[in-house]
Amino acid sequence: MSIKSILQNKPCNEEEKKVIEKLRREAKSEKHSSFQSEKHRNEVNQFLDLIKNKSKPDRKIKKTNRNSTFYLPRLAFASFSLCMISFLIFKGFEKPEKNKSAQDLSLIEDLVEFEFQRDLDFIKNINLEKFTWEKPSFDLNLILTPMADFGSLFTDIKIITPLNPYFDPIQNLPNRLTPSEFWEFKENTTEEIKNFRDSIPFLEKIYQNNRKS
Amino acid sequence: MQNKKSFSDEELAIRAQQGDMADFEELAKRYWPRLHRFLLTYGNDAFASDITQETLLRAYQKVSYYHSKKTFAPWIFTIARNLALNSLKRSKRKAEVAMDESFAESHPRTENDHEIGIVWGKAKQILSKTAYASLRLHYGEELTINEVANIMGKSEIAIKVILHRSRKKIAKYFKSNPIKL
Repeated sequence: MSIKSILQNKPCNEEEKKVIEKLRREAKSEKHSSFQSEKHRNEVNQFLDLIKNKSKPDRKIKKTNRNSTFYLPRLAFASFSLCMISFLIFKGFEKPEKNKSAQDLSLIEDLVEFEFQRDLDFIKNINLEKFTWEKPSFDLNLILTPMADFGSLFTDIKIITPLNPYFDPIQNLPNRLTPSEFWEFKENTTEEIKNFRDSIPFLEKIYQNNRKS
Repeated sequence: MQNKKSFSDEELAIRAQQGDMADFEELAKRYWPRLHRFLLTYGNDAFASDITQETLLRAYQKVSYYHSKKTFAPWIFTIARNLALNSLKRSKRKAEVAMDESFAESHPRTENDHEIGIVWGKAKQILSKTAYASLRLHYGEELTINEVANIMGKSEIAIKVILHRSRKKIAKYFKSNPIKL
């Protein structure tokens, strides 16, 4: 009974009912008397005189249909949002791990076909045909790269746009090598090739695994 | 020109947002006594008058923040309650209990009590400030439970429980101290 009366906000008994009725009746008479009260009228008039002398109300926030000419912050905000959205879409939230597992090789395998040999010159046999040094017919990088660079200003994470011709999914590989730089690098001494191989530890692991199999 | 008295509070507030001073004047006339009575919960007559003035001034300055799709009364009562509690905090007085006790003891019946009826006066003495304010808003100002809950910063169930206990307490008081209800 009590819980029901609480939930329905209804009086439990006759006494409570009378109390509510009395409260409501008194409230009504209070309202009636206060509207006629000289004291209140004076106070209201004093207040109205006060606000007439005060500054205009704060109308900075208008509701709708506002024709603003202040475009620059909006433009900056829109471009920043676009950068962040493109960053989130293409790159995701995760930071690249330093030591990626061998599974990640599938990424590079899409670009490079490995033909392992017994000697350590395997790097020479990497089929580089699948690297696309040429610019794509529609170079989206012209839009995305500056946006990504702009986005990089605000984060510690290096943003690499996916359509970058020098896009490197594995962070250990040197970034943004030009074609000539890459060929120069490839044709360097064995020592440098070895260094290059060492810079990609899992590649060596895969190489060893392949040799075993 | 249409009579201002025929407009609802919400219509007046929207017109005041567009800069019509006369509409705000009408709102002030309507709400001054209501706010004053409500603010008597938190202090004496002078306190209530000060906070009423501050509330209406704040409402005038910030009327552009009022959301036209919501009812006006809860918005202004929320401002009033917040200002009252802030003022009490500033003056290092305890908002809920200490004022109630000291004020009720030292000023058993003061000038402001002339404004309120016998039952409301007794309710003010025997209930906590939160309970009295909830009772005042619901039965005195005819606000819904939801609106009272929003003003008081509590859940609807909590307000229902407070109202239930208050009704019970007042009924019990008048049972042991009978007057003609």
